[in-house]
Amino acid sequence: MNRARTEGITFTKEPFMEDTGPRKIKNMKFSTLSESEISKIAEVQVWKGSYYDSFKKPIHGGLLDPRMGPANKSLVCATCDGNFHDCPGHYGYLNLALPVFNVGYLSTIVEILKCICKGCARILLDEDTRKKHLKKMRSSKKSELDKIDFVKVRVIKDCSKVVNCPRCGYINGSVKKLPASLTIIHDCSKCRNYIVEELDSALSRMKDSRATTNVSNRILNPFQVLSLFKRMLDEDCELLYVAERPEKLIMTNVVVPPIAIRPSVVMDESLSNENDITERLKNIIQANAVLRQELQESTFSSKFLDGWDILQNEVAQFINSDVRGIPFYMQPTKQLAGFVQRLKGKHGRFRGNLSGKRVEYTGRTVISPDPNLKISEVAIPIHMARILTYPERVTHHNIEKLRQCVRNGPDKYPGARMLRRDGGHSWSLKVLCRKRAADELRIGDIVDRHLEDGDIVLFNRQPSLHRMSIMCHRARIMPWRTLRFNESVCNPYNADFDGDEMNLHVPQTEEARTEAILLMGVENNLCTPKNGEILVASTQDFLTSSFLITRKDTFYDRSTFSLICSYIGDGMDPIDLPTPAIVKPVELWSGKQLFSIILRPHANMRVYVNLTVKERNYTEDKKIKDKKIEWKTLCPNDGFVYFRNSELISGQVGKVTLGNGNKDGLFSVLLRDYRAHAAASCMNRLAKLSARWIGNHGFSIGIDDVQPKEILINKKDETISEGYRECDKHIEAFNKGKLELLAGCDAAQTLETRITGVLNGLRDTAGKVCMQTLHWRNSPLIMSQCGSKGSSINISQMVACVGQQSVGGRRTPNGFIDRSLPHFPRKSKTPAAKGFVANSFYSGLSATEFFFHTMGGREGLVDTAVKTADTGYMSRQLMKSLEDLFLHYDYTVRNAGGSIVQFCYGDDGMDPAGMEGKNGKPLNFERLFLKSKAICPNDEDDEILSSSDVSKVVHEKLSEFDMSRLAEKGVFEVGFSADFVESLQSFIKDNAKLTEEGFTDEHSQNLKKFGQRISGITRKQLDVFLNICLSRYHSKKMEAGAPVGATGAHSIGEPGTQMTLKTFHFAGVASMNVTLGVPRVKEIMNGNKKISTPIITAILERDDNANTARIVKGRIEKTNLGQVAKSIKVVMTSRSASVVITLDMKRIQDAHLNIDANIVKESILRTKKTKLKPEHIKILDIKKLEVVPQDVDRSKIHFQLHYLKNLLPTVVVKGIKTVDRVVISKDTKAEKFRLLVEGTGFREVMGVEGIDGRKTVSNHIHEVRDTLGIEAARESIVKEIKYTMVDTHGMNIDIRHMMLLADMMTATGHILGINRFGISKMGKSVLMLASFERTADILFQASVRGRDDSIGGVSESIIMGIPIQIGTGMIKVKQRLDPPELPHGTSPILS
Amino acid sequence: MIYLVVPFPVPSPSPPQHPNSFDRWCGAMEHGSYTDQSKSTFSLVDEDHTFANAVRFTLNQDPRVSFCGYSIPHPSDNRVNIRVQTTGDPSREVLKDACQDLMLMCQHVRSTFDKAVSDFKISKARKNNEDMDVE
Repeated sequence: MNRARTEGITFTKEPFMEDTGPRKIKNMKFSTLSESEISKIAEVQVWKGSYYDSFKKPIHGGLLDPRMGPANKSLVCATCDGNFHDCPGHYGYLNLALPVFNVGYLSTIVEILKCICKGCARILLDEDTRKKHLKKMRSSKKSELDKIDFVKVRVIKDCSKVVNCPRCGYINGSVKKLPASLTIIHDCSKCRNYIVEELDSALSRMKDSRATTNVSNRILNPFQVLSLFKRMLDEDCELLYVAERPEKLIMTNVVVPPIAIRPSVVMDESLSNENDITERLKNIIQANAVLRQELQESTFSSKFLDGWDILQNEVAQFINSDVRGIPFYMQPTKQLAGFVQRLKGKHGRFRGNLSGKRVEYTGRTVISPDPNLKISEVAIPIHMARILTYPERVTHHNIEKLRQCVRNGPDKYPGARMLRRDGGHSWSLKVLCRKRAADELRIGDIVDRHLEDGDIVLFNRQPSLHRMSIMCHRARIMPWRTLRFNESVCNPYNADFDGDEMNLHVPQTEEARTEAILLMGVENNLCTPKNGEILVASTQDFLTSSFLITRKDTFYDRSTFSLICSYIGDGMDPIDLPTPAIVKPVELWSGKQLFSIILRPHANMRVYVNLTVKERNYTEDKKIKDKKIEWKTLCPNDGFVYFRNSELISGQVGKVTLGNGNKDGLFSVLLRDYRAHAAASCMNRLAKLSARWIGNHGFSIGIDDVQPKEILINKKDETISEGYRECDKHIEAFNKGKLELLAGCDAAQTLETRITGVLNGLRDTAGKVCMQTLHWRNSPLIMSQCGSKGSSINISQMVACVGQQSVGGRRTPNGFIDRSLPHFPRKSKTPAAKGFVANSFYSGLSATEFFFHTMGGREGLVDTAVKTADTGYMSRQLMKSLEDLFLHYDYTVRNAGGSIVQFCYGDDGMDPAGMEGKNGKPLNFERLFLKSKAICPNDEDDEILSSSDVSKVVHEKLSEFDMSRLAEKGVFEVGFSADFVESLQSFIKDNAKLTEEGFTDEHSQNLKKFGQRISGITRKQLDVFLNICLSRYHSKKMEAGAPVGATGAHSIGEPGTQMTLKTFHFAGVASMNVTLGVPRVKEIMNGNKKISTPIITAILERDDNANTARIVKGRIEKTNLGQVAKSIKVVMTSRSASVVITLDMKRIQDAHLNIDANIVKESILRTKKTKLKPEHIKILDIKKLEVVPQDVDRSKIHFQLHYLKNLLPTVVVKGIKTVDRVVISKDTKAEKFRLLVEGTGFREVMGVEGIDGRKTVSNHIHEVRDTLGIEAARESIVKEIKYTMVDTHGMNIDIRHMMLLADMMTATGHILGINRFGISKMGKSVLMLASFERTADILFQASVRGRDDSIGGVSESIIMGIPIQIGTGMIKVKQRLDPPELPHGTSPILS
Repeated sequence: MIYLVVPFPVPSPSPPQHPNSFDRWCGAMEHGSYTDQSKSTFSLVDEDHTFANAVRFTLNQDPRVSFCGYSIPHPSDNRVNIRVQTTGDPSREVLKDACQDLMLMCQHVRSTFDKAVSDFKISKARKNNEDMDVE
């Protein structure tokens, strides 16, 4: 640096200097430590259990020996001479008097002991089997998981069967760990041979012996196990998949961890507060000393065994304080945490410290709304700005500003807190002579100045469900105490202002600021990657103001119009007033013109918006003579919003246009056509205008707004009375048994369905009447129409009728005997007795109605409370499984290990956040076509293209983009997906054809020409349209490095929190209760082998005939013999005895079953329980059979006959056993039938005659995989998640995210659930798995197996503090080196 | 468009309470462009609706004004922006004239008020004299 300064060159940051070598952790290897290895890494042997001596110094050889590091801040390490901050800590070791089991490896020790001979320590396999298994274990084709499975399934199982060792003949019984103990026993009670028998007989002869020793069970103590393990062969260790010698699993000495991880705190003169680990070590030292003394005292007594147990328990608790098997008297009164407790759980080392790190430069306080701020700004209290700093380097541009900051100091704003010289010295400006420091300030110094306007800050609200939960804002320093931001940004944060708090973070480097503002800025995240819909949008008051401004009767004179226009840009923007809507007698401008100015304040702004939107209050299209007439711009309610070249032609602007979620809305169009800044600017202008306009105009709600009028009251009473009458009619029919049944329902279910339908219609009718009778100035009506707050249901409940209360998706259940409340008679089914509330909130609820209402509300509260934990855990599982996936430069999606999960992201490589069309399509052709025609209006002289000309132009344009030879054949594959090209061509063809079909020769020439100018396509228009489509398509490609896995996990997990926990949905037929909602999503993602409601949707070959459906239903549905038999009798005569079965042929024919005596005979023979043979069954005629029992003694024949009589009714004579029920579902529109099969048996159902197997689907993913393969299972996962989250709950998730999840679950060829079992099998690293669940088990197993992991994934990079190789982290700098000169061969001697 | 920042000669009584940017050190500014002086925004510190709405009224009376309005950017900022667009004359001159007119209107109101007060006092004194004569 000195050299650079002397040369006159100054740098804003240190130049890069090559290090001596690269220092990056690339791999991590797990292993176990042996006794000698522990001694080597240790600096000191610890043998004293005390801490300090009388002079307050740590004792040598004690637990706080200074050679392991300083115990507190005032001491110095005796090994490396470092102080409390510098010394990393050094290990000690502690020799145990006797070996003990390592409790973390206890299960592994038991497994090994099961496989080896307890006499000679060889593996319990004969030589051929051993070689065969060893060969398989050494095979490189087997993965680690396969090897573990092989050991458990084959090796341990084979070894457990062997009793006599094939080499030494030793008797080996079963080995197991005693429950609730740390002891391993060897049980030989089931093994007997001549030696044991001789011993037993010898013992029995000793008559004077008072006690018989049990020779069967022996305890395998650690010493014996250690001896056995030492004698094991290396080949046997390899066969059992133990990476190192197994004697390392038993502890003969204990590692004493460095003092740095267990510091000591001196309380006063004689006391000190010690860490739990230190306390545990003290207990071990004491137990060890006692045991050693007992061993010395009496060599031949068994007293030391108790001491040994105590030592074992202490060492076990040192590792895991929750281990089972500790005697009760050893349970400590004070809970001391072990190492396992330090690591696991939400507050453990992995999830609490390594994955989630603590940060500085952070603030948190309550939030408030502020419509005066821009959407990219956040107002920071000045108190916060004085504490948070940014280290700004002094240059000649900012030296004066920073000098002033230094003079002001830390307490006066704008000031600074720290000053750092170029050489590295730093001072606090609290005590420094600030004036002199300011004068001496030099270019290159760093000043930690207070926050100022325009600084980049990160803003976050918890729970952080998706990536927009933390976004980048510009700081705006303001007085008062809350963090303030524009209400338009509430949606991505899911923030409201009832006391919420939010977090603020200040990036501290220029690179961090740049990345934050570009990747996380609000303007760059207006759209959600979930589906591409806009998320930052106008809300509440902004919608009300816009709706009222754009009314047809809103007019302003010049002075008022000018004033309101000044609100838009705070008076800073030049405004070009449009021509007044009314010129005489007074110049007047309309509210719609005011809205046009919001889009385009002056002529130089080239923003031309073209869109059409139907708002909520759009009138329904009607039909005249079977022709559909669309109101469009002539809608009586002014609900058709039409912008043409940024002028509002018609329509009152509401939520559909300005709110979030509409891809055809105003802000979406601005974002797609004119970049994010145009949309953001428009939002800012609208926020400014709305806040001021509605402040002047006023908008309030009162009791008059919810007071029903006489007409409404009478109409409501009439409607409810009529509904009650209809319900009573149904109840009467039910009581008389004359109710016509619905498909698949019994009488009670049918009645419930009918009544529920009537009652739901009641509230709808009352709601409609209510909306019609309310005045157009009614405030709740206005709010519901523009979408700012509330809906027609809310108004209906306030004014007219609350409606039916539901519990569990049904009418109120009977909590008392045969009734819901004691106010009603028993078995009452009237509307009032089952939870229908006829009153409104205005008229007040009666006592029973109020109770029913609270029942429904309570269910909602329970749902909310339970759902949060479930969906939160689901999001965590998704993130852990998908976090490593990102897009590579070859457009494949790979995981951290490099395995390909998808060859092309989403099958087309598109970014879901950029999709403009519905259902994830890249472009909205209708809107772009409208835009092209508006930009290039037709002139009189322009020629209208015909269909063939249009096709030719399209072909030429596509050929320009595609230079390959395939273009000549009409195949465009380079750069565009086939779907896109096909849809583009068909769209243009349809529009061209529309022009020609619209007019025939009957019309006059002038009329035809006029029509063509309106709807025809000119060459220029077509060129503009095609250029926009084709160039914009490429801009929507997903960028390489994008973390598609994390985005996909967010996009599926975040909507999960919006779903209800239990949803009762009737799939086509009222009686079918299908699992939906969060439980169903969990079933799918966990890859459950058993799901609660498996359903096969079977498509019939002939789906238009009800009789055919019934016949096929009979073939599938399980039919027992008891269902179709008229009688099953026992017939006994003098000669023979038998069971006679008589079939009920009439019933069989009614059910369209094809059953006769031959089929019944085959079914009986197929049932194994009967144990009958063909000669035992005689067919008397087509409907009669005789079953003769087997040849048995006469005394048992009676028993046999009755046994058969009871068994035969359960024989399945028709249908599939695994099917519970089949329901015929009717599609009312198309008059088609299909079968819904409850149960499993997908393959069998597909094969049934009459079923079209190619169209039959199942919702059981494992069945689909077993029947149709892994690719079909992957498709099934996508469909099931889409059906559950998108179709049923309306969550609207882009299909590419669900594709990625399905591909991740099926990439290995098996279905792996998104849980700790499936994630373990996905090939994840140990650190990643440990940070997810079962931390201790995973670490212990990794040590035994000798795992060697590369540090490449997201979790391990965070844990190790390495930059993640995703996104901006995947860029690397390659240094060019001159190629080395290779020496050529020496010249020959002879030349 | 080149924006011109010129200090406007309006005296400011004291520095603002929370100055945190260069803009707030100045008492007043004109935002506009060199090329077109007929459209400008005048930013005044320590003013609010009282002055801005009144001067807007007088600006609207001027036939040279085609557009005028004001806005307070943020209630926490003690500042008001006045937008003036004219038919061709420099907007600064038009604003000065409007302030002058406002001053005249205020003077007229004050003089009218003073005259009414003095007339009232005179009439009251005369009435007292008449009462004494009767006694």
